[in-house]
Amino acid sequence: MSSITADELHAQLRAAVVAFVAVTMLILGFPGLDGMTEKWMTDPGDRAKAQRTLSGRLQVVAADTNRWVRLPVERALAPLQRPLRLAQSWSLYGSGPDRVVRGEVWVDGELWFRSGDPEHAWQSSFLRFRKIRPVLDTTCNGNSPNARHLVAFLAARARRERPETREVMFRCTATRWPGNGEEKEKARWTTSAPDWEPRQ
Amino acid sequence: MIARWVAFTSREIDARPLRLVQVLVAVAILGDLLAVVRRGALEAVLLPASLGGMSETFSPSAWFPESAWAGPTWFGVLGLSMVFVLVGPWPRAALLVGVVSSAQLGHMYMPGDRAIDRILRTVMLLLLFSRASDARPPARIAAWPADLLRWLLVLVYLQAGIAKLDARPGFLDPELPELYAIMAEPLVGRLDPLFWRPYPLLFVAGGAATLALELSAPLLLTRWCRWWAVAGAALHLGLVATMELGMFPFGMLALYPVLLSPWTEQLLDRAAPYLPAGLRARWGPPEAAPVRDSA
Repeated sequence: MSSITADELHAQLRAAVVAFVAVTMLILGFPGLDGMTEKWMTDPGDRAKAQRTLSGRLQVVAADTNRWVRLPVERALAPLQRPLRLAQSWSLYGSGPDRVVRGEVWVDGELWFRSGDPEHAWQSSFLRFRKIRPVLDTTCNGNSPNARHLVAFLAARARRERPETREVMFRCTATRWPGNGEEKEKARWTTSAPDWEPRQ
Repeated sequence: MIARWVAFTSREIDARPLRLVQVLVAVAILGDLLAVVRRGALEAVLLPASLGGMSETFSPSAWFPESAWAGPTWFGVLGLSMVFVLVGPWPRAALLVGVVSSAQLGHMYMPGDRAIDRILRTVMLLLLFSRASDARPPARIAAWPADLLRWLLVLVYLQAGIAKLDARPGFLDPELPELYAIMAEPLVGRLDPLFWRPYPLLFVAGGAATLALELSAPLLLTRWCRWWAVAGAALHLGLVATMELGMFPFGMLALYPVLLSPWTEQLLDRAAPYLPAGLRARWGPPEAAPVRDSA
């Protein structure tokens, strides 16, 4: 019977831990699975229909892998992943917008800011900052819980700059590419004296 | 096979590429914190909405309740921890504090906690278990943290590439290439959509190159890694020029010294004679000639 040295044991343990971490990273960040919901492809009718084509069968395999492998691992690791915010999901810049979307800030009817417009660049450095832009983006798409705070924040800045300000409006427009056609309003928030309560 | 895996995870490499990653990650995070100040986003990011900040949502995983001091405290702790990662004396403890404080800032202002923040936290966690984060790191260290970093980047780039395949009308669409829509989007892009509209084929070519690069990310696990990294670095420098993504391209480039090995070590060897004595001792060639690892 061969004896194992402490160094060998250490090397074997390290190999096992590295393999475990690598496999866990693969399962959590498996390309294409992170966007799937748990219920996707659970309907027997959908599954039977999908079996008719190769891509459909692959979708069923992907859905099952997600449901039976990735999500249970994710749930098991949640006590570590959640506090440290280590979710392994990386769909970086998958697609661009189908319209030219611009945010605008109007102060007492005067245009102060317009996305990508150097003539109207009030707070442009702030609004284009990577930590602020997502709020602008989701406000324009109409689904931000933070929209009212963005508008209140901009109004406070405008009033600090011009104390006699009476009304601040934030709106988003969408135009067909390349962006010189007719604008369609996507979202509008207004806040005005005396209560300065942001309203849609 | 198990014996080969044990040998593979036991091999050693020059410590300098991973140490350089550690330094550059700290610099990228410090730069991002400075950007919060410089761009006037301090109150928006650090205060809860009830006190004039911008985030309504406050994660239940945040350790401190909504207050005027929680955000600034974590902000200061993160900044200080990154300074400690750079200058010591306890880089490993500083990395741990950095991971926790960065995550806590993310819990307090969730819209601003992006993929790059998660990538850098994951990398800091890997560094935490590497001897590269020793206060006095040895010249040669275990290779597995560098291997896991490469593995992470394979998954990141592959997933980004696969997500792009689903885009409609698509990156190869000659009418409205996706890359044009991304780079000319006024909210984030620097390109003028009107000026660049007549040149869709440029963006089709750029989109094809991006897809080819991201989908070939498994090359990071081969001896072609450094060549792939040259193209990857070009992609991120292109992003710096065409889009306003803040820390993202710089944070990604901070990881490249490992990908560019052994060129990283060769560059440091050549630069060593021109460095001040203190830096030369830290970054110059190890006294014992290292056996280069090019896997």
